[in-house]
Amino acid sequence: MGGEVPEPRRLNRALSFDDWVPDEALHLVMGHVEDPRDREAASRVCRRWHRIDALTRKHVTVAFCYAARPARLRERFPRLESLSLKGKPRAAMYGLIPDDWGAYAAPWIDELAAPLECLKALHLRRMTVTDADIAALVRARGHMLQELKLDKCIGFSTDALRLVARSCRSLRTLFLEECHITDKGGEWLHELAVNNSVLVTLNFYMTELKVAPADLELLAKNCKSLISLKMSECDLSDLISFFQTANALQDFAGGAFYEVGELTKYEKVKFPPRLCFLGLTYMGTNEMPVIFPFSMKLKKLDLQYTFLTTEDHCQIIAKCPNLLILEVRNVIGDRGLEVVGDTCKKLRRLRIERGDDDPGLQEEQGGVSQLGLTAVAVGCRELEYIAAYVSDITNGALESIGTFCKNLYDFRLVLLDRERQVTDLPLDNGVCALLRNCTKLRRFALYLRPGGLSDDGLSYIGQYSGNIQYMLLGNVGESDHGLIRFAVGCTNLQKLELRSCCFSERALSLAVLQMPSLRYIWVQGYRASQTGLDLLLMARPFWNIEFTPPSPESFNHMTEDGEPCVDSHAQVLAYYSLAGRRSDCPQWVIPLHPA
Amino acid sequence: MAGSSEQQLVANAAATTVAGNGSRFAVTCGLLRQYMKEHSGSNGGGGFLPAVTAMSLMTGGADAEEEAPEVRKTMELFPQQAGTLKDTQERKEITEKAQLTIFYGGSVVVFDDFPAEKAGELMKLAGSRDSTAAAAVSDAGAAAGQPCLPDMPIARKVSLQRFLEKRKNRIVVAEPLPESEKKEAESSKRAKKDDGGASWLQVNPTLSL
Repeated sequence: MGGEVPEPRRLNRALSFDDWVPDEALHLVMGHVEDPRDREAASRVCRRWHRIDALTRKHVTVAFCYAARPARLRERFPRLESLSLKGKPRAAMYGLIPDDWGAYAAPWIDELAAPLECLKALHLRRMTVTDADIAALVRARGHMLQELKLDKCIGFSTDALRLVARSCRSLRTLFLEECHITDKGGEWLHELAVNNSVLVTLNFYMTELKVAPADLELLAKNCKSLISLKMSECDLSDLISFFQTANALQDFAGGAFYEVGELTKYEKVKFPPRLCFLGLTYMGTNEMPVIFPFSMKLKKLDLQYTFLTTEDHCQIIAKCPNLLILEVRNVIGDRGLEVVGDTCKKLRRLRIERGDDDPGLQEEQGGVSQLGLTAVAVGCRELEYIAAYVSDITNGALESIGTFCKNLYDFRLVLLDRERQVTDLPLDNGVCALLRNCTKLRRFALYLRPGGLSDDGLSYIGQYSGNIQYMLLGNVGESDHGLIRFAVGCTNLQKLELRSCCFSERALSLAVLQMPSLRYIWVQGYRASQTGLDLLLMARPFWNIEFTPPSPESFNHMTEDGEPCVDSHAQVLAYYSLAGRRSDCPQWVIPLHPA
Repeated sequence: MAGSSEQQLVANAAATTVAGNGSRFAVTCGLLRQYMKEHSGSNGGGGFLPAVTAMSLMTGGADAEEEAPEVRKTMELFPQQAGTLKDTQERKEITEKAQLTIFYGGSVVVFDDFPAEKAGELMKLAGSRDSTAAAAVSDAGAAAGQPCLPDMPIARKVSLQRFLEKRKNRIVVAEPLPESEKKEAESSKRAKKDDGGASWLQVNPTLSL
């Protein structure tokens, strides 16, 4: 990255022809610049470049929906074709943010859906979207919409999906994974099957929607282009006809084994010939053989929602040498990861989720430790993404990852708190080695326990943060001094999440002011001052600070699942915004600002 | 002290940028921007046209092109990804009255339309001890021995939590059928009742403690 910077003299000579470069040529050149940071830099050269960038920009990601006003976006990028919006803090995925926190899609859809005449792809993540919002979107853009992605959104029902299915006949991607959708019947899928003939991707994985297998079969019949289907649970034996019809299918997840221990029913299941991405629910020891016939072809395997033992994992993975993506729970154990290291030489993404804390009969004790991680590091040197919940860890394992996984782009490690004894703490030297060697890292997460990382280790993270733009840190550091030293080193960090740390409000404020690129910080678990006013030390223009006090009232906020938000620790959210202070804060979120 | 540290930060950031942190294209655009600022007089048809500074808060986000010049200058405070970092005087927002929020002893008190003058006095009083950065550093030193907060439980992803709950239910009830979900629920409840206090029947707590 980077390279030779032009000398001022050469630059001067090149620019002497500036008056001769017509706008049309600049339009054409700009159209080929796709990296958003390059685009941003180009738009700042002069007024003329700024205008041409604005006219040629096709995709924008708004990393936080309260950072800008919809009208501002419309005015600047009138020819947008694709828009991504992110809403609630990431902690919402873990039940730490109540559903009524905000992140409403309505202002954006109301402002943008009609005027952006070229818009054909919309991606909303962790936002509140209502049936009315989707109706407004369909009214304005239904005929043009090709991609609709609602990722972990809440607030709408199948009524909205029916409307989408009836009106958006050009839709190629409908993505609803992990949304909470009120199910008012399966007609939406039938409408989609009848009205659409160009669908490529349909994803309602991890929703609770009920659908009829016959409608899926009809969809496969009418949409010859269907490549990816990820659905809610449906007995696999009911999908035999669908699989026979969906000849182009490559990516499937969501089929379930409802009759454990009886294989006869599932022997007849024959997967489409090109299938190479697979995730099956409730698959156990007796059901594993279903995938053996084509395991060599598998590139992605999702075993997070299975009933497999450690031994089962070893058997399956040994038959999948071409995996690029593997997602498992920590039941895979170190033995399973050794098989991964021996077998999956092409692996690029590995996620090891946290399983049951009470292993029960089917799982081995111990989970994942330095042994498994080291085996994977040594064996899978193409890895770009590692996310692992571990029970034990050493500096040596982190050093191995740094030594062998030079292509790492995203690394996330959580040290579970169940095991009392950890082999090798603090992890200062391991973290230092990993960061120094993995120079391509953009995202980094480290969640440990008290004593897991000293102030020196925290200083290393800052010093070697390089191009890392996102960090999540939990239970790290020993004192305010460590946080300040960390912050001084983070020149490119844009987004920071801190949890369960011992830093004071003053240190948090000083740290924020030290990081020149920081745009967003979320904190839960810190040392509160007596007045809470030390947070105001980070006040500055265009910087919003929002405080959620610790309160028994937090227990009264129910998620739509009916489960209480169990966490009542105070939270601080602060971010840059061109839109000013939020006008839709719930009563329990307190904006802080100097008088 | 603060000024020198700021300059150091700016120098570090600029050095990092020039060292190849951004792509070559981005670095070149930064230099081009400088050049255009310096030579906009000769290039322009007549008179001096100040270059517009487009500041993005997020990648590809909105900017302040059409804001008043005063605000435009202020917004150069935002971090730049390429080119030079520039100091700009801060703009103070003056309001006679605004909301004042006070946290004390675990309670939150909010006043509407609190006079700015009195709020200033109150803040001075509250901050009368250890108000400087140097004091903060020594404060940090003093805090080194203090115990950290009690552990917060590690949260689990909602989707995985939901699966594990279902898994528990399926283990409890042997070979449940999808057609008899209600029966499954009933038998599940019955099994739980029958076995009373058996620990393996307890629903897994949402968060481990």
